[in-house]
Amino acid sequence: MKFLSRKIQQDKKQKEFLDEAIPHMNLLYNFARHLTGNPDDADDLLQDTYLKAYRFWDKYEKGTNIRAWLFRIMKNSYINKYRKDTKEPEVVDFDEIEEFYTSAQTEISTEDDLVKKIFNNLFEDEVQKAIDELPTDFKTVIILCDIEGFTYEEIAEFLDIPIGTVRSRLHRARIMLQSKLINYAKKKGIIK
Amino acid sequence: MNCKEIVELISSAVDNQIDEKQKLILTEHLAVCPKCKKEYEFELTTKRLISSFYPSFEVSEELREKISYCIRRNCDVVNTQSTPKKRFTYWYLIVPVILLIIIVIISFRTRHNHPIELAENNLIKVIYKHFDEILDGDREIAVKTSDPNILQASFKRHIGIDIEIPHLQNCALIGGWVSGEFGQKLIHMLYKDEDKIIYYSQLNFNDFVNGSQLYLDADIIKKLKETGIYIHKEFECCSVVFRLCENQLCIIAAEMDTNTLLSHLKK
Repeated sequence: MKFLSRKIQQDKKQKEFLDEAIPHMNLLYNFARHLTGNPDDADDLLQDTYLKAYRFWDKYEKGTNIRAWLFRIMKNSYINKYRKDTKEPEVVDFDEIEEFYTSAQTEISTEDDLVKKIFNNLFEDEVQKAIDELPTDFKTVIILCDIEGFTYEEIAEFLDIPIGTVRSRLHRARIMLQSKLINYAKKKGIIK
Repeated sequence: MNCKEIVELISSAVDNQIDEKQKLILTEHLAVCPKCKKEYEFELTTKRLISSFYPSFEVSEELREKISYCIRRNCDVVNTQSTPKKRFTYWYLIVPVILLIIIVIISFRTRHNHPIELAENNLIKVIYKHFDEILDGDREIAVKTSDPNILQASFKRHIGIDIEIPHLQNCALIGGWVSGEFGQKLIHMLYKDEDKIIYYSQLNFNDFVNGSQLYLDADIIKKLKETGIYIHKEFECCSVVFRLCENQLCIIAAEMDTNTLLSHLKK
């Protein structure tokens, strides 16, 4: 009887999980691809996330935002795995970001058609590369906001950070990106 | 609002995360401040650039299936190199198959074994045990001889009685030994018919009639008393014949059919 009851519980858990978590797989995969930058690591990260989520399904509070829950698991798995793999913590240099910011502002003020020029002459892989090179925290908000289209509130819930932090990270991430794109444009001779 | 405060609003505006009141304040400021306007346009362009240039990916059906399959099977690790369809899913057959193989091997190795369960002190079981040991080479023959007189002398020395060594038709004596089984002395003789070994054991019949630790089923004793012979029919791999000669019970076993075995016993 115990075995039977355990089996029924397990079947129920499986059904619930498959019904609720699997529909968000595309969204999470997309996030995994952007986070890792390659399909093999993204596959591993997605599998890791879903198996962990299933293992801890009992911890998920029914009725709350499942996407936020899954995103959090994925982000933590990514940080654990990649930080473990590289064996060195990711350090974000805020002074450097400020420098980018100032530099970018200078560029903007000196060239009216700069935006158009960059927009028209950069290739997809260059934009991707610029995003991939961002520190994880900044890359994450960019992906969630600009690519996945989540609201600040959702992102704050996913990442378990205040909305103000989401806003400032996004702003800084975009400035860093602008700077990187301007550098590409310079290297290609699009702008001087 | 000054420019610093407006800059903080710009990201929210670009992401459409501001309310109507903030939107109005921003619009009014941008209309009069070209620097903030450029900042706003640049951030908006960057956002568009990211969303338009950055590709959207879809999870492959194979990976989706793999993960769903793994959850259904309660596995902890997904093999990324193989599809679930190719995974070996018949592990539950392994144990029965191994058991079956072990049974086949054991039955092949012990094909001479007694196929029925008998009590340890049942004479038939004892006889089979000895015969098995001989066939499997586990029994060292104490007296290896083709001379009946030597074997007779050996038996006399061990049990103090002169036992006449029987002569079997077309068979050569190869040796014998004495064993003590449940308080009784049994004598064992071996003969050979070309490549077949014939086992011959002899003991006092009255011991069984009077009752002893080593026993023989009552119906066999009855049959022996009536006809002097009992052919055991339960074993497929070998024939066993019980024969009563005066007061001696002779048990003869060999891997051959009963008729062939009986032909060796004819005088």
